[in-house]
Amino acid sequence: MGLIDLRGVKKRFGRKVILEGVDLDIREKDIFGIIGVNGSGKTTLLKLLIGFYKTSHGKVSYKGKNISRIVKKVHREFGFTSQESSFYPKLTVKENLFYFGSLYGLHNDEIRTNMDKVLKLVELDDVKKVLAENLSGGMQRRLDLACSMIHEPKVLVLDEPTEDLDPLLRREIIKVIKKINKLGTTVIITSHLLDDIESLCNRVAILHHRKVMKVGSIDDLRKLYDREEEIHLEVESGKYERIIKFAKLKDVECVGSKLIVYTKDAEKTLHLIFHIIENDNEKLVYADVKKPNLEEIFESLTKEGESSVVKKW
Amino acid sequence: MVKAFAIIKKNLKLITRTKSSALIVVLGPLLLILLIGAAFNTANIYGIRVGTYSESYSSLTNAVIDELHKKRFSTVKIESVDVCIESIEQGIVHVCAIFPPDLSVKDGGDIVFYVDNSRLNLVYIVLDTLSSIVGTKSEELSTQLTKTLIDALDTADKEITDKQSLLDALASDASITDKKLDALRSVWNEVDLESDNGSSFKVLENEVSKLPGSNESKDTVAGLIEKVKRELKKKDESLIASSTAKQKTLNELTNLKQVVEGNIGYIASLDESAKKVSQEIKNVKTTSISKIVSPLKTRIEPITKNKTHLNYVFPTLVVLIIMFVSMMLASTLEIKEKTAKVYFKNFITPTSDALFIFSNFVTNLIIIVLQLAVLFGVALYFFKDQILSVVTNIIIIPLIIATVFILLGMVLGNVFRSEETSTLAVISLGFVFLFFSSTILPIESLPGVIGKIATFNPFFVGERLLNQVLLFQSPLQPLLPSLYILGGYIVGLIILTVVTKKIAKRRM
Repeated sequence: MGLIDLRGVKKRFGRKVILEGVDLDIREKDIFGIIGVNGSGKTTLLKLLIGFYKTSHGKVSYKGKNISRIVKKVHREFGFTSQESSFYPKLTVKENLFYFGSLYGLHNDEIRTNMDKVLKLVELDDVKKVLAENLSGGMQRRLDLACSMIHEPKVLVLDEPTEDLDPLLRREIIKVIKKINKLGTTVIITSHLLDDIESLCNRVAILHHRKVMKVGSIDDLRKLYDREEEIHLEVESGKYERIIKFAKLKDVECVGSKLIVYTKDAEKTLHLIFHIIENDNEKLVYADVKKPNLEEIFESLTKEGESSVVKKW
Repeated sequence: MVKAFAIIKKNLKLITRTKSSALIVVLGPLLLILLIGAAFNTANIYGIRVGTYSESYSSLTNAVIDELHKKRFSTVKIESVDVCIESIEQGIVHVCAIFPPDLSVKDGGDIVFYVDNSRLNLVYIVLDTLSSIVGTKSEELSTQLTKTLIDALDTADKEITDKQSLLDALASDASITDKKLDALRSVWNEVDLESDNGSSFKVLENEVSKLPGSNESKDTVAGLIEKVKRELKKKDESLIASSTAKQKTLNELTNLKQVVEGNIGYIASLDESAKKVSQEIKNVKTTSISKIVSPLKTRIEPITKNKTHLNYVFPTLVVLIIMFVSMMLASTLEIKEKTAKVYFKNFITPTSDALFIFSNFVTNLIIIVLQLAVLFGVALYFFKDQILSVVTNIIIIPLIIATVFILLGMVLGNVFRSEETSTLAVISLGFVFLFFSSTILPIESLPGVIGKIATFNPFFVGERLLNQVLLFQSPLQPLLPSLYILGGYIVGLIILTVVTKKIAKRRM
């Protein structure tokens, strides 16, 4: 049993079904990613996790207890950051933290202690007297995280935390999230920026068509992908018939002067190709092995009518 | 409580750190009360223009116009009735007074006023003042005429009273004359002018014949008797003439008596009439000219003395400010919070909805209290005694009124999704409250059911409460029914605020 479990969860608003038959388990100290296209129900799923919404069917439990019965406990032990910076721009960094600390029921001393820790964690300790609206974009996002961390939550739920940020700021935020996780906080994160998920998460759920399509580690998901690895090859003659024939390559593609080979065992196949090139006195111009990224896996998994390329779980 | 304090502190910081909000909170009411104080701290009417027209201006017409000037009205003589009416339509004048040609007291005539009924409040002020001026002038003239009449009556009464003694003397003289006539007649009646000398002489002659003596002496005596007889006969004739004269005199005296008696009757009748006229004049109990001119006088006496327009406007102004500021502030605060990116984060803290509602309410109340403090602080300059004498009520009642409107604003803020729509709703609702109160039209002029419903209008109830406290220094006890109405609103609105808050939360 995970820290958070969802069993047969269904959520609908009126007649519109947003989520259906969702089964998930999120383990302690995970950085759990939820990916899905816009409107796939990621935010709704998060709001179910924090007990803001009630399920239409099924059960969400935290530490084995139904969340709807322990909402206050969940609110005390969870932190939440939405896709938009959520703090009061007209309050200073310190005032924001004090405000949220008070709402979480902390005493002033606790707030002060936690504030120092959190500000150090998000590297905002130098600007605690600055109005939030005067902070840079990256600082504001870190302040948002700090506000969600002021009560030292056991679970931090992040809804698209790197949305609208430039690559530099994204990297900054990812670094902070990793630091938070290292402190022992379970992180649940949604994003459609799959690079971020790939670099952050140890486990991922793919949400598609109201359902959780797949759950697992990135490597697990890669295994589902038929064209697991790609070998990009270029020889001086530009002739690849002998290579294809003697290496018994089935899944190949010619793109310009290059040959792309899709194989499950790139190392073995590449070794064979190099042997043929050597025998034929061919001159190798370029060779590279590319593993499919999460984006490709996601694209492949969610592509309609192409279920054949996906292995059954 | 710590949480509530944190929310209130945060709300106040957000409001005060927005310069425009801070400006509105502190300077808004200050500016408003100063402007209104300067404008309404008078009992006069300024700048009302009266167009006048008459084919021929008489001295009376000019006198009425002069009176208008004295009352600070501006008057413009206009060349025709049509132009005058047109001038009202164009706003050049506020009212047209059309005087009949050569208006005079003797001939009388109607003075017609043309008014623009769409400016009801102005119409009432103008008509009231004009009617009073014309009425005063007309009363002045009637007074003059009546004075002449009363003076004539006074003179007549005085004359009659003065001449009463003469009449009495006349009556007395006539009576004396009558009596004297009676006496005269009685004297005359006693006078005996009859004579019977023949038998006396026969007796004398018999006696003489019986006397002894000579016939000669007897003849001498008889001759003497005869001589006396003749003399007496002459006297008899004179007596007969006197008797006839006496009878004639008696007859004349009788006639004179009748005339005197008649005169006595006439004098008595004249005396009676004079007395009656005098009595009648005396019986005219009301000899006060003003009472004769207008025996039934109407006089409007304000139950509050020595008040300026500001006194009457102030309670309405306070409730108006409370209503609009409370609703606007509360709804804006709710909407701003609701549409803020941080809103959701508040709800996933272990803080109950009720605490957010309470804290937001207290924030609003603090701001309204600040505004009212500014408002009443400035108002102290204008009517210190009036405020200080009912200071407790002045603290309690605005707070209750503010509570109603803050809660109403919070409900609107929860129901509407954007600041624009909620502001529009606040303004619309505010105007509905304003129109269905006695501020623009008397509530009594509204048709039955609507009028009754309007008496429950919180603005109307609040205004009435504050009026009673500020103008009449009323204690709380007689105001309890109105306070119960507001109490009912508060309970209902608390429930509605909780419900709408939950609905708004569900919409996220």
